[in-house]
Amino acid sequence: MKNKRIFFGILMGFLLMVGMTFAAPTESQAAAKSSTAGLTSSKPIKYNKKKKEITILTTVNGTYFTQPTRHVIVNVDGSNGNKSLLKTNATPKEFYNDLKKVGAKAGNNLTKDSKAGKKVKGTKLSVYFVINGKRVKAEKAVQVNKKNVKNLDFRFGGNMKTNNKMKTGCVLCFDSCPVGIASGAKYGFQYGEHFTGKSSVMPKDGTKMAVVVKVK
Amino acid sequence: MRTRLRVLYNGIVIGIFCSLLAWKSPWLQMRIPLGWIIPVVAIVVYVCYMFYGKHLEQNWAIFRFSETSIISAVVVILLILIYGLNSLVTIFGATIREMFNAEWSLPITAGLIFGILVIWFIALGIDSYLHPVAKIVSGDKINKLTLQSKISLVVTITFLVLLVVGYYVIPGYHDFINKMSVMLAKLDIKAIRDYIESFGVWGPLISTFLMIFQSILAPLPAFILTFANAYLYGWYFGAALSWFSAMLGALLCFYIARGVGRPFAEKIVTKNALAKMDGFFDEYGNYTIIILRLLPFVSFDEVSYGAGFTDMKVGSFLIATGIGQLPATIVYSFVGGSLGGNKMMMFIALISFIILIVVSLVARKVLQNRQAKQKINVSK
Repeated sequence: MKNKRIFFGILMGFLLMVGMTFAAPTESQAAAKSSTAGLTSSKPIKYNKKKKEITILTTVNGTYFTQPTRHVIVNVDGSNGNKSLLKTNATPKEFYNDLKKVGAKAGNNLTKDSKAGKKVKGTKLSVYFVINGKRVKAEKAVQVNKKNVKNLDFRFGGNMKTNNKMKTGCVLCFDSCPVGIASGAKYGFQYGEHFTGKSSVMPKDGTKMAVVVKVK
Repeated sequence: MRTRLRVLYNGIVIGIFCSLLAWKSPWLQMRIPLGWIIPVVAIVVYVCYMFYGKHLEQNWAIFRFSETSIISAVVVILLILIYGLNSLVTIFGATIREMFNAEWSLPITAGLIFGILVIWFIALGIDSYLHPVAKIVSGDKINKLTLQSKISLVVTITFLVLLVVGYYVIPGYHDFINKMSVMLAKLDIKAIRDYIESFGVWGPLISTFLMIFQSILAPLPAFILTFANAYLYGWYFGAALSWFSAMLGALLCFYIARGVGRPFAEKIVTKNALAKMDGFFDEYGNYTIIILRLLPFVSFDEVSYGAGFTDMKVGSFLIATGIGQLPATIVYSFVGGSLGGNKMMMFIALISFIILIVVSLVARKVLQNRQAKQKINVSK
């Protein structure tokens, strides 16, 4: 009887393993090579000095179509890597340097001790999600407290020092943030997790999507 | 081995419930991968089984198949009610995949784990059909100082000490208690109503806290709160809220007494007094509780404590409390509902109040007669 049980347990474990392997989309050679907007997971970010644009390759995290978050784009290796609407292999440092290269100026006006409600400063940015080959304003693809939002007023906050120290991997945030490289100035510091992606606009969970950040 | 698999299953199911519930708190879900709650809870449940089930031979801690089924069903129903199916699939999948830092498809991950749990559950069902697990005859002797009663004594005392120390240490809690005591003692219905209302959405929760608070502190009256609830939320919902929170309060009193335990109580209150109480409960049985709850303006908290000192079963205590509370709660809610100036309500309240008094007096009479008969039988 006991042997039967042990066998049963092993079978269970085996089933679990098999299931996991099937459920996990293994990143094959082909997937690594497939490019979206000329980007791959090994080269996830590029900039265009003439157009003053930066393009980042991201992966959609469908969890945040139903759950609220404050993180738009976070690097997968950061401590917030699983907490954002979009994951990316690009690092905050690359994004920061590229923004500098296309002529944006960092605000650097927020610290972790700033008063709640203080708004981020810096060069204005427009953020577009490339969905089915079309550029869609980021504002169109998200909701705040289940309501539509017109303009999140993204800025180049800078924050490279804090970002290096915190290791959160934050690239772009919805509300004013002393850690993210860029963040939205419409909502002040510590506004909180109130942002959800619209499943009607956003591509499916797990889809690769390019995000364009344009310096105004 | 079989028992271990069963306990592990329960641990995982309860763990999943806890971790999915944690998604309700954005603050929490933004700071930790919630999936890790599952193994932690599973280990806690397993330790409970090792200690309470194996060592202390408590029935609840061996998770017989009937308990396993109830836990599984309650977890599934609650989660679907809280989240709806679509969100549930999303967060369940997200919880699992976050643990492994993977990018698996949400529905497939959720479906797979759910499938495994269903197979596991069916296997446990077949197993329990083939090898039924007998109920343990509890070695729980209420009059003896066992390891278990020592543990509950320590836990209860710690809990009470924390309650008291918290009063001096936490300013918000301190103010809350002071405010409440004054309002309840003054029977200031309007003030209580405004106070509960000021919490907005959290009002019902605060009201529940108040009810529990007044249960622990015996002298404070509960009917004022019942009025206020009905005044605020209408008689129907108000009555439900009052009934539920009073049940919680009674249960807490019961468990405080149970935790302090007989041997310790005998040192404080004399053996004689406890024996008298036993006799009282023995004579009337569960009717005592129902009758005492029926009578308006009788502070019931002492009875809850008293019941905890006797060997009464928790289940029968709860059922008796629930039934006994119902009429009074409904009548007081009528009164509370009529405070808004509703003439019809006022009339109904008055009539029901009279009926309540009459019924409880008649019930008391009937009981006394029964007792008298029993005495005659004994003397024969």
